[in-house]
This record gives sequence, structure tokens and C-alpha cells, in this order.
Amino acid sequence: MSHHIIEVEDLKYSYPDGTEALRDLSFRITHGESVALIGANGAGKSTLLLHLAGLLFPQTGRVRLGGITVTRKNILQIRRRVGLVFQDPDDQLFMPTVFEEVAFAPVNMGVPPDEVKELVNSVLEQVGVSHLRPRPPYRLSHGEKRAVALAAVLAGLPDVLLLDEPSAGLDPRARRQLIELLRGFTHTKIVATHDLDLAWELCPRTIILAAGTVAAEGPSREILGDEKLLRCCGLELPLRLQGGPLVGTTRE
Amino acid sequence: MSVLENALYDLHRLEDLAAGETFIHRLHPGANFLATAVFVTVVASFPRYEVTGLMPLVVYPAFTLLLADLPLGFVLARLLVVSPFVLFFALADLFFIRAPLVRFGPFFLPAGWISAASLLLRFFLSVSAALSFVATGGFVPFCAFLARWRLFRPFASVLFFVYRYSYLTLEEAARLVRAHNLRAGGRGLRLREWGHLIGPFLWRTYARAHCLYLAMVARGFNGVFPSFGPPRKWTGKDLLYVSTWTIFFLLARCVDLAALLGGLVLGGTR
Ligand SMILES: Nc1ncnc2c1ncn2[C@@H]1O[C@H](COP(=O)(O)OP(=O)(O)OP(=O)(O)O)[C@@H](O)[C@H]1O
Ligand SMILES: [Mg+2]
Repeated sequence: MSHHIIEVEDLKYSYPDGTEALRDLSFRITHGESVALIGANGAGKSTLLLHLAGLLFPQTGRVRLGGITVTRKNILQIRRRVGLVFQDPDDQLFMPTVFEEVAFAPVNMGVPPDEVKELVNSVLEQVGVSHLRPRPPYRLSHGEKRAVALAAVLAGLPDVLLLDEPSAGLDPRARRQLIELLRGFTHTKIVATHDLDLAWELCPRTIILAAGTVAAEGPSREILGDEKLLRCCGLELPLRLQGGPLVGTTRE
Repeated sequence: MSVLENALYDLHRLEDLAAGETFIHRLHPGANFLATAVFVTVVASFPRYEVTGLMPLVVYPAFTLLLADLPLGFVLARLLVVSPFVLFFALADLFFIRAPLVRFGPFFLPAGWISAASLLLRFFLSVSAALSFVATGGFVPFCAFLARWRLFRPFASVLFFVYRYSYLTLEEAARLVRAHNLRAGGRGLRLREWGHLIGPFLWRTYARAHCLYLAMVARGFNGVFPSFGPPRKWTGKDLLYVSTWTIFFLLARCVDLAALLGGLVLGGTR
């Protein structure tokens, strides 16, 4: 199957204020792959994800999804297939209750009402936040908001899942649950993250962005183990590779 | 809490109340809306010097507030907050319309007093009915209800955005002011600082509104407000509710119920 291949060619994008966020960016992700997108603050990760979700359009170059170039014309079709979980859940949640929030995407896609209810319940269950169903999103903790934001995107049944720092602000248990949950998805996944251990566990491949372009890409075990490369891009080795007591050497 | 945080708290509180489970809450949003709309229209249609005729209409807000379990204190406080505005008009009447209207022997009541009383009464009736409408139905179900008709769809979307945007503006403003106060050593905002804050404030509300819009679009929003759940059916109860109230309101408008009741009571005791 080739319908979820993501190709980015010579992508370039500057924000209206002149900040050049992406330049000469190219890569290719095949169907069902899990890819970690890492890079220092301001490297352009979020901007890239907005392009992949069809929310920003390249100024030069192009983004292709399953062989189709993303344009303003076919954008609705593209957006149905791609789900983006925003970096800040407050940017994403706008309905008065968690239920309506999660129902928003399926309702928009014309799913019949009784199926919507079932779908919402199952997604909330999957993400482990069924108990939040009647609550207003604005009253939730940050981690709860994140879970709801993820559920809201999953309910749209996307083929491609884009996650912008999904583990930021989660407690260790919630983070672990998230990793297990994501591991279970067969979606094509792109995870922008500063949590290199999560990248290590979840994504066989890693792309490093620096100053809006690809600085390196390859198997995660190689990239994330290359201290010199990481340091060069303003990053550090994942904790698990840093040695010392954090690795948890067991006493004999 | 700052004024802004109070306003935000109020909005949230109204939504919490709207999640209630009383008989009134379970009415069809259209039934609730129609009853309220007829009520406000009837109240507004009374002549300028009418006071006693308006009295029986107090039943409606009283009924909804009580049956919907709405905290009276909260509603009264909100009424007081908006009242200075209308008090101003009432006072103007008091001062400027001095012609006598009602006589009690040697005393007379100037027309201004009567029209001021009527104005205040009409204002409190309409606003309390409107408040209880929002607090029992909720704003979003109402938007969804409107969106069922093609004709009202754009209207429903605009209403929803205005509503959502008012939250966002208040949230951003409250955040900015709090961030300022935390580092200002207990000193209030100076006039000059308002100038500095207004730019970031506008930018932030714009940026957040934009992000939210993107989030909606990313989830398939195409300008039409979606309706949630299966379309609510009108039940006999809803129809009965609307028609009973409508008949009552029209009666109150056309017949002097107060005098009629008074007459009945007096006639009965005579
Ligand atoms: N709305 C905006 N207007 C102007 N410039 C922006 C805007 N959003 C981001 N930028 C700039 O674009 C560049 C890339 O930002 P982006 O948010 O994509 O980085 P990021 O890799 O996601 O960073 P972080 O790890 O901090 O989330 C940065 O230099 C940033 O200052
Ligand atoms: Mg980012």
C-alpha cells in the first residue's frame, strides 16, 4: 500500500513577520512508519507539522500525501486523513464538554449520531479518560487536556497521526500509558518531541531538524546514540544512554 | 479576583448551571427559546406607563428560576451588575417627565415615576428570563438547534464564534493582567502600561483565535456549525409548555389580569 506515504520536497516557509521557519526541507516517510522529529527549540518542528496537516501551505516546494500534492483544492480530503495533535492543548479545545469536543470531528464528517456516541465512548475509553466525558475541557489539568486533545483527534479516524510533543507535561504513568497506546496504533506516525527516550522506544527512525532543515536522519538507534551529532544540534543523549545511576544499575 | 476573572467565572458558571438535570433543562431548546422569545416580545410591547399589567408576568422568570434550580443570589447579582445602565434611563424619566399622571386626592404621581418603574420592571423581567434561558439550555445546544435550518446556519456559526471568542479574549486578558500583577509588587496597572499591554493582548488573542480556527479546520470544520446527537424531537410536553405560556402571556397582555383577579377576590368576599 502506498496511500500513506508522505513526501516533502524542497519545502520553504517564512512567517508573515519574515522569520524563516523552514528551508530546503526534504524527506520521505513510508506507509505505517513511526518517525521521531527532533530538534532544538525553534528548529521548525511545529511549523513542519502544520504543513503536513494542510494547515499551512509551502511557499516553495511541495508536500505530497499518498502521491497527491497538497493544494488548497484537495485540502478537505487531505485533512480527513491526517490528524494533528497540537503542542498546546489550549489551542485545540473549544467545545463546552469533553464529549462534544471529541464528537466534533466525526460529526463534521457526517457520521450518524448514534455511531458518533459509540465512537466517542470507545475513543475516550482507549485514551483512558472516560471519566472526564461530561466535564468542560477548560477545567481540566494540563495532562488531562492533552489526553482529551488526543482523543479528539483519534475520533476523526485519521490514517496519519501527527503529534506535537505528546509527552510534555505528563506524569510518568500517563507518559507510559501514552507510549503503550501509541505503540498499538498502526497509523503512520510522526512525533515531534524533546523526549528522546520516547523517540527511542516508539520510533524506529529519527529526523533531526536544525534551523528549518534536515540536519540528519536515519535509524533512531544510530542517530540518538551519536553524541557529537546531537550536541551539534543543541540536543543531548537520551537519558537511557547517559550511563550513571539513571540507568538503574542493579546492585548485586 | 480581578474584574476579568470574575467575568470569566460568570461565563463558566452559566455553563455549569446549563448542565443541570431539571424539567426545564430537559425541554427542547426550541421550546425554551420560543417561550422566552414570546415573553420578551410581550414584555416589550406594553405601553410606556404600564406597571400593574406587567405584574402577573413575574410568574414566568420566577417559575423557570425556581424549577430549574438556579441560585437566585447569582441571578440577582448579575441583574444588579447590568442595572446601572438602565437605571440611568429610568432616572432620566424621573427628572424630565414631570406631568402628573395619577392623582390620590391632593397628591399626584408624576408620569416620569410611572414610566421609570415600568422601564425597570420590564428590564428585570426580560434580563432574568434571558439569563434563565442561557442557564437552562446552554448556548451551544441553542446554536446547534439554530443550525438545523439552512437559513439560520451562518447565524449559528457566527453566534458560536462570538461566544467562543469572548471566552478567549477574557482568558487572554486575565492571563496578561495576572502575569503583570505577579511581578508588579502589588501595584495596579498604570495607564501607560495599558498602552504596552494592549499590543501583545491583541496579538495573543489573534494568534490563539487563529490556532483554534486551525484546530477546528483540522477536524473537518467547513464553516457549518455541526449539530450533536440525534435531532431532538418535539414531545407533547414541549408543545404544551410553549402553548400554555404563550396563552398566558397573550392573556396578560390583552386582559388586565391583576384587576380581574382583584375583582374576583373582592367580588367573592363582598
Ligand atoms: N506565528 C509565528 N509568527 C512568526 N514566527 C513564528 C511563528 N511561529 C513560529 N515562528 C518562528 O518559526 C520558527 C520555528 O518555530 P516552530 O514553532 O516551528 O519551532 P519548534 O521546533 O516547534 O520549537 P519548539 O521546540 O520550541 O516547539 C521559530 O524561529 C519561531 O520563532
Ligand atoms: Mg513546537
